Amino acid sequence: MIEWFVDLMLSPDEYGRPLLTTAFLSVVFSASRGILTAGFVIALGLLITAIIESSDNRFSATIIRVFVDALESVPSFIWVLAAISAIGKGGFAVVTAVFAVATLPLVLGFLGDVIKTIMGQQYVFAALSMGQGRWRVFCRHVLPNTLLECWPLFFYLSGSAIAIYGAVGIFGFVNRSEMDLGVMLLRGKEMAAVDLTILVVSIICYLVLFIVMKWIHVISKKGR
Amino acid sequence: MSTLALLGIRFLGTVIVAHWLAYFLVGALPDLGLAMLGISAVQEGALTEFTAKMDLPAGYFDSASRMLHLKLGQNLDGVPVNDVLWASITDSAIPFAISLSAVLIVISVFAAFPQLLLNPVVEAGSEFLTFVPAYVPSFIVLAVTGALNWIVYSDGTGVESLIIGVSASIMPCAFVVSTMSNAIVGEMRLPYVRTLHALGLSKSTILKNVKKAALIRLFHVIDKLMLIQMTVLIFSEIVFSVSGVGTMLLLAGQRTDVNTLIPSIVFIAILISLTRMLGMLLVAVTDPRQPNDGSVL
Repeated sequence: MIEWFVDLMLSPDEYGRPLLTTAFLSVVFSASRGILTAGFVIALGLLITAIIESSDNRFSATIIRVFVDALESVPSFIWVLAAISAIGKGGFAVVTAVFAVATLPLVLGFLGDVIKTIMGQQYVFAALSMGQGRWRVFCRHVLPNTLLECWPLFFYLSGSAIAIYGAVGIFGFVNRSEMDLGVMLLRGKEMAAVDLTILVVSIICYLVLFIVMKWIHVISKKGR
Repeated sequence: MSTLALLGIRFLGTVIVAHWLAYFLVGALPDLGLAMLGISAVQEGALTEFTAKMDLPAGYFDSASRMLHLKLGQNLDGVPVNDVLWASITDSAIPFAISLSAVLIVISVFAAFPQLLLNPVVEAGSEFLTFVPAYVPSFIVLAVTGALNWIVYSDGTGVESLIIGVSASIMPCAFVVSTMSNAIVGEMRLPYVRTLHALGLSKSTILKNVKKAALIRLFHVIDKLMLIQMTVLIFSEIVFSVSGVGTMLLLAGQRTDVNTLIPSIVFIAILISLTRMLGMLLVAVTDPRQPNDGSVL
C-alpha cells in the first residue's frame, strides 16, 4: 500500500514533474496567494473604515449598503471572470484587485460594526475625555482590538481567494503548467476519463488545505 | 412610505448599481486598469484611449436604455442577445434547480426540527458549513459532481442538467437545515422562552413560537441560498461544459463579448435581488418585532 502510494506520488504528470512536488507547490502557492489577498483586502478595509469613521457615518453607511447589495447579487467569481475577460489577463494583480472590490463592502460592513462596538466602550470615552486625539486612540487601542476580531474574516477571505484563483484556473485563463490548485483541478477533470489520479490528488489537496486552515483557526481562537 | 415602495426602491437601486458596475468593469476598466496595474505595454496608449472614451456617461445611459427596452443588441456571432440569453436559461439547469430547491427547502425546514435531537452533530456540521462556502466553487462542486463524473460524460441526453440541478440543490438545503437548527437552538436560549416556561405554557405552544422566530431568521438569509445555488450551478456548467448560463458566460468572457456579458450579469443580479426582496417582504410581514415604518429595510 505504502509502496503503491509512494510510486503514485513520485510518478510524473504530463509535464514530467513528480505529482507530489506539483501538488505540494500548488498548495503552497495557492495558500500564499489566498493569504496575501486576504491580508491586502483587510488592510484596505481598515484604511477605508478609519477614513469613514472620521466622516459622516450615515451617508457612508447608505452608500456601502447599496454597493453591498449590488456586489452580493452576483457571485464574486463572475465579477472576476468579467474583469479578466475585459483585461485579457488572469494575473495575480488583476484577480486581487477585482476580488478586493467584490469583497470590500462585506469587509467594510464587518469592520464598521466591530469598530463601532469598540468605540462605544467606556475606556475609549475615558481616553477621549482625557484629551487624547481621536486618531491616537484609534491607532493605539481600537485598531489592535479590531485586528483580534478579524481572524474569522481573514480565514473566510483567504478561503474565498484560494477558491477564486482556483476558479480562474478552471476557466482556463492561466497557463496550464502553472502550480495552482485550480489548474490541477482543471487538468484532473480533463484527464478523468483516462486517469483519476490528478483529480483525486487535487481534491485531497483542497481537503488538506481546508483542514490546516481550520486547525489554525481553532488554535488562534484558543490563543485568544 | 410603504414597505412595498421601499422594497421596490432598494431593488431598483441594486439592479442599477449592478448594471453600472458591470458596465464600468467590462466597458471602461480595461485600459485604465491595465495602466494602473502597471502593465507597461499599454500604459502609453491607455490614457489616449481612456480620453477617447470620455463619452462614458452617454454610453452608459445608452446601455441602460437598451436594457430597459429589452433591446440587448447582438453578440459577436450576430445572434440577438435576447435569444442567446433565453436559450441559455432554458438549456441550463436553473429552472429545474430552483423548483427542486423550493421543494427541498420546505422539506429541509421541517427536517431541521428532528435534527435538534442530534444537536452536537448539527452544530459541528453548521460550523463546517459556515466555513465551507468559501470553498464552494472549487471544492464542493468538484467533490459532489466529480463523484458523478462518469455520468456527466456518459451521453448528451439531458441527464447532465439533472445531475447538476440535483447537486446544486444540496448546498442550499444543507444551509437551510444548518440555519434552522442554529436558529432554533439560539431562540431556545432567549429569556422569553424561559418566561413562557415559567408561565406554564405547554411545550408545543412554546415550540410553535420558537419555530416561527427561527423561520424569520431564515428569511433574513434567503438570498444567500440563491447566491449559493447560482454559484454552484454556473460553476458546474462551466466545469463540465454543459450548455447553459455558465458556458454562455465563459464563452462571452473568453471572447470579451460585452453585449452578452453585461445583460447576463444584470440577469443574475435581478434574480438574486428578487429573492432578497422576497425574504425582506416575508420578514416585514411575519416578524412582529419589526416596526411597520419600513426601517427594517
